[in-house]
Amino acid sequence: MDRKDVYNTVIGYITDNQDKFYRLAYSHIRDREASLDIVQNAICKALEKYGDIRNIDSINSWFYRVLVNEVYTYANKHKREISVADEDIPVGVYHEKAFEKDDSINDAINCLPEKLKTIIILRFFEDMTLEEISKVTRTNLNTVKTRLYSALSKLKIYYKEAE
Amino acid sequence: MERLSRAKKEYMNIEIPSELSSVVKEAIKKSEQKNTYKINVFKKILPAVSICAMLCLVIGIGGLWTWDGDEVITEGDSEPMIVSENSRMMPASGARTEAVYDMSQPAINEAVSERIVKESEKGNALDPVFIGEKYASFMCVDENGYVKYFNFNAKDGSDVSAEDLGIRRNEKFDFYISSENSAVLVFDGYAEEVVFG
Repeated sequence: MDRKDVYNTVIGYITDNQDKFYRLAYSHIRDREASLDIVQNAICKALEKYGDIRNIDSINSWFYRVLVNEVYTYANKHKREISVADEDIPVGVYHEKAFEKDDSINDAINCLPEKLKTIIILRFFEDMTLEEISKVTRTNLNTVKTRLYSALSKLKIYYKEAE
Repeated sequence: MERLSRAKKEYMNIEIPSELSSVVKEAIKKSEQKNTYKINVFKKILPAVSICAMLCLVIGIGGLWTWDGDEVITEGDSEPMIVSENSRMMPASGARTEAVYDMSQPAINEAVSERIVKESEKGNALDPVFIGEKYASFMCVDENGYVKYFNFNAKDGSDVSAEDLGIRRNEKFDFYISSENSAVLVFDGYAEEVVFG
């Protein structure tokens, strides 16, 4: 497969899965504009480095790695931002309907540290295997397992406290 | 698990903004432009770099081709001296063409240099013929086209006469030092090499 074919494959993959990318970014950041920016930056970076793909079959984990890194970069940059009080939010601001229906589970996930949150999202929402998650997060498989166990334990504690 | 599967449904129901596809298209376009720019820059730079490389190669080969090829020659028991094959000397009629000291190899001390400057102030533009440890011999062409030789003590820049070297002849001759222990006598029409003393 020559370079042009790889490029076209990557473009096709991005176009087909753009919704998934947005969901992943949004579920981490909870900000519509920021999520769009993250997706855009991730695509730019991926297309800049598409030559690094050794095996085209691993394109999924490769792109998710770029995206997750972009999410972390954004989250780290905006960690120190002061959150705005509800009354200061202008009328007409975007709210995600899906999370407003019943935000308890999503709130619980959102309370998790970034790395644990990523593992929950990738494992249960994106249906990735632990091996794939290990590739995406560039962590050891056992570390992934430990983090998953830890995340699930924290969610259990959250629900026990809620009940 | 039930809660997680419910959460997944919610996750899948996240509303996808209508701008997403345009954002993605824009990102792809940006990357394509960036890649095209990179390729164009590369295409522009590559010929320039290769031309420079070729020029350097040609200049290098040319330099080697025209190099005089400094060589070390020895004359008798004298010390080796660095000379150039290119003779810049105007030989007197019948005089032996002698190797000329390569000016790119400075070996003239201050005293001799001062003498050269003094002579040039007098109008004698000296060209080196031989520079040795003991003697330095120079020549110049005067206004009438005659070759004049100047022989200096290589240490203090003083004049060296034929008598100092032990050359005794009755005929009128011009001479220049050709090695540490020999001089070439130039008579009218022919030249002869003599050993000092």
